[in-house]
Amino acid sequence: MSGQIRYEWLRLTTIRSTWIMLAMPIVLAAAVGWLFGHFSSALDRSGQGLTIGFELLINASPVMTLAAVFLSVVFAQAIGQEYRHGLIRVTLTQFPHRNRVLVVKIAMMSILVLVMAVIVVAVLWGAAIVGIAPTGGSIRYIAATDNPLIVRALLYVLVFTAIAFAITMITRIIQLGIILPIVLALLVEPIIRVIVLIATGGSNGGRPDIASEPLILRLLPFSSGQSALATDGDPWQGLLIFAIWGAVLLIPGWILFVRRDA
Amino acid sequence: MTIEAVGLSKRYGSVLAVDALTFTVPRGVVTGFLGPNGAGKSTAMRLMLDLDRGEGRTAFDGKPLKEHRHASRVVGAHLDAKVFHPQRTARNHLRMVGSDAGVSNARVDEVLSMVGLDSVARKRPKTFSLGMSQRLALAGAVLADPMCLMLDEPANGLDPQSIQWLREFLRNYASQGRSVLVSSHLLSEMQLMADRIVVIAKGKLITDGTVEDFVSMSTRNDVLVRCDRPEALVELLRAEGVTAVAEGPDGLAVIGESTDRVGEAAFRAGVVVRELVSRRASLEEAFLELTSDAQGFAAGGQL
Repeated sequence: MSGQIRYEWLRLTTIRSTWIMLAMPIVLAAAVGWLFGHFSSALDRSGQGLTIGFELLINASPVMTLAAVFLSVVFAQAIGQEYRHGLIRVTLTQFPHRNRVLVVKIAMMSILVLVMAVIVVAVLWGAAIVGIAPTGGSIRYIAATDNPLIVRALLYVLVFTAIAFAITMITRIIQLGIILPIVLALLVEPIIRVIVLIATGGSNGGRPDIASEPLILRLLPFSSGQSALATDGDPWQGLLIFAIWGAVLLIPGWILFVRRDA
Repeated sequence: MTIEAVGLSKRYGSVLAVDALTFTVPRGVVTGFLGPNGAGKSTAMRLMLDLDRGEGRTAFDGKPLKEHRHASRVVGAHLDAKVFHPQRTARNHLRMVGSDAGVSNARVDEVLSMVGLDSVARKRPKTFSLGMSQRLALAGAVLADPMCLMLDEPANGLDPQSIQWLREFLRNYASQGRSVLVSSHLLSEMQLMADRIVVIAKGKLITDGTVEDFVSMSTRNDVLVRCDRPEALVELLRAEGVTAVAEGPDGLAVIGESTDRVGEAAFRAGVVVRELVSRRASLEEAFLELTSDAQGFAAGGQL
């Protein structure tokens, strides 16, 4: 198995696009964090410095979702590039146990995504502090609510990227693995939400509140995932639904990987 | 290490691409894998490596590939020339491919030098020609010094010097007690390279044996005799149940007989023999004859 870990590591690190995709969410987190801190301080009317809750950095900025998009490219490439360039035959000739191949790929990519998500959160937080500090402001961190929020944010990124990986496994088309989650999250689900809310005569006018929504909206994957970044409602339930969607896609992807011709 | 393929079968919808194929690739010799386009050679190779899902089993030294601790030390495969990421340098590609066997960077450089790619080791292969891609794929196959090699059309795109180098390399590799299975459409090249051949057509085995055995199956092996009265000799030969066909004004092609027998017959017929020569079909002639009714995707139209 060590040979396969080395193989995956070299596969990952010897391509320039990997480093670009890993750098992008960090740069983005730094920029958004600093801008968030800097411009939030403009709201300060007291002149004594504004205190902003850490949770706003996570759920009011798009950083975690954008980080998930960039990292989903890396995760999807773990399998998509192998099919695209025919390398899957080289891989499976060296490592004929397909289940092990997937276990190592998913484990390594999951660790990478989680490490990157931790870095993104840290950079976002640090940049926001740097941005707000000159005005005497600060970022308030409440461990009781913000620790679980960070855990949910990391898992949200992981599930998002795993969905991209699963779609790529099923379709063997890397572009679909990358684009489909974005289209679903930003286009399809909002349209469904609007249609359902119009049909049922209700609207909460903002972030999805899973508990008060019709069942069909509570089961939408990416809306559920987004609700995991909130601190109100039942964010854990949203994360659970999102994770179930991830598993639902991973299982057929896994079966197809093992059973289909390479 | 011997490779034994038993009962390989693969169906694509209603098409049976490989049909109960059984053959052996012995150690110490180069085994050619021949067949018309669409005969199922590449599919059979993928089945042997468990890359395609089908029926049958393949044993490498008595065990499936999965049961060997390091598959890359058992078999090195080259199934397609353009199997690399276009942005990963040739050297990094080989470092990655050598991961299972723990191949050192020095070995990577050695193999790159061996296939003549040392000057482009740190270049991205997106600009490589077909010949260079073939060399890189070959380098990947031999990198871990495996006991078996399986190469699918490795000579495609190579210049004559490279083909000669490949021939010598594979013969030398096999002579070290290893198994080499190589498919090719270059039949004249295969005649020089292979000691044994496995011929398939429409997914079925035509022959599995030596090149000599295969060529001897051809009806184009004959004896040419030129004499002063060929009609007299034909009459005698036909009376003895021997097939003889006129060839030129004074020649006869006698099928299925030795020069000794034809010479004796000429003596008995009282003819003056001017030329008596045994003619052997080439591998190409034998191949075309014996697979003529089994062309998968043959070109036969007139321009």
